[in-house]
Amino acid sequence: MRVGELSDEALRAALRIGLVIETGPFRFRIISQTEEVFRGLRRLYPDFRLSDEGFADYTVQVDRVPGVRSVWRPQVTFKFDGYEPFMPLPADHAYALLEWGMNWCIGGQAHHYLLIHAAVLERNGRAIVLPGDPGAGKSTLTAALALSGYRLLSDEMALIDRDDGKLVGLARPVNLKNDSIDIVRRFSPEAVFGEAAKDTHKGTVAHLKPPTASVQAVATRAIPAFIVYPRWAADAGCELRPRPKADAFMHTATHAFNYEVLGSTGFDLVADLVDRCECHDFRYARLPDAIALFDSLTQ
Amino acid sequence: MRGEVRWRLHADARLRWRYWDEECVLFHGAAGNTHRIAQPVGQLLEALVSGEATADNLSESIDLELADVQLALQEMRRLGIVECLE
Repeated sequence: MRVGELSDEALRAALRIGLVIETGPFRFRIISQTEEVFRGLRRLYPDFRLSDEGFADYTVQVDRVPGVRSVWRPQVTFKFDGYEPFMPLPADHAYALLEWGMNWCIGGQAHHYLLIHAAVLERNGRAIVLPGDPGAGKSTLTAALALSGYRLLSDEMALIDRDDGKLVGLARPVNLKNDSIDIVRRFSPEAVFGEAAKDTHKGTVAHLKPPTASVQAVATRAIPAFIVYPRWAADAGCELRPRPKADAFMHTATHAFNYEVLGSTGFDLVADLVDRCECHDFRYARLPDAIALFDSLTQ
Repeated sequence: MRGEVRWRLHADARLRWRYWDEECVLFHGAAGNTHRIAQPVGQLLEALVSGEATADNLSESIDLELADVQLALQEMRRLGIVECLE
């Protein structure tokens, strides 16, 4: 059964006691009585499978902070197994807080994978890893590729299996910020977005619904073929340049959440990834040009 | 530094390396650090895997000037990767 098959009443009821969804290899039990989380899941997660097993990897909760303050400035808090790792946020940030909290759970604990701060997409059996410095345009490019038929494995985190070096998908919503929200809306008017959360620490944030086909294929692992470091610039053309592999190694290791945690295994995994991939710097100004270039790259 | 001083890898170094083009990326397991070094420095460390050597020996085996070998050894000693037997 999938989230979209639940009636509104059933979804609300499940969220009160814990809705267990599968996102790639992880099961999240989500507890929330906020309308923002209900609406976000209703709109962005209809294709995700519900787990009928009792076990969940992570139990997370987003709910209103009780007390007098909740009347004049309602806030929400994120709990992981009852622990609150973040400060409360305004109530209308509840859905964004859930997504950030889910990332935090994986990034801090899923050390049976190498976790790299990068988007991952796949076409014709060849996966592209897009590590992103903040503001580089990673998520904008990821959204455009996903809306152009590329399979979305992840927007925020590349998961690499320690046994076979393959990429493991999550297919969760793409987190877009500020100007990139309207850029993607213009690129694909039929794209489905959740509600925008304004004035977050990242500015205005909105999540893009992942393509149904990507969610349905989430269990299919991908073979890494390219590491591409995107950089959007208004005056750029559309240019792909080889990046020295030693440089790609250092950059990728720096973007791994748990490189140090994994020790020599982390070194081997990053080195194997760099070995098997073409590594490129990529500068672009226009999304259609970028898509055309990636199309030729992944022929 | 005299050429006859013998050098060896630190017993706990636990090194791994990978070469690309003219560069080497070295993982120093004892410290958990990763270093990007020139290819000959990686080769120098690989030469020490098989046992102790003098700077002269190393200079001959990896085709690197003695002064460069000595400089690299000093730097690797500072990082706790090699030690000298004086």
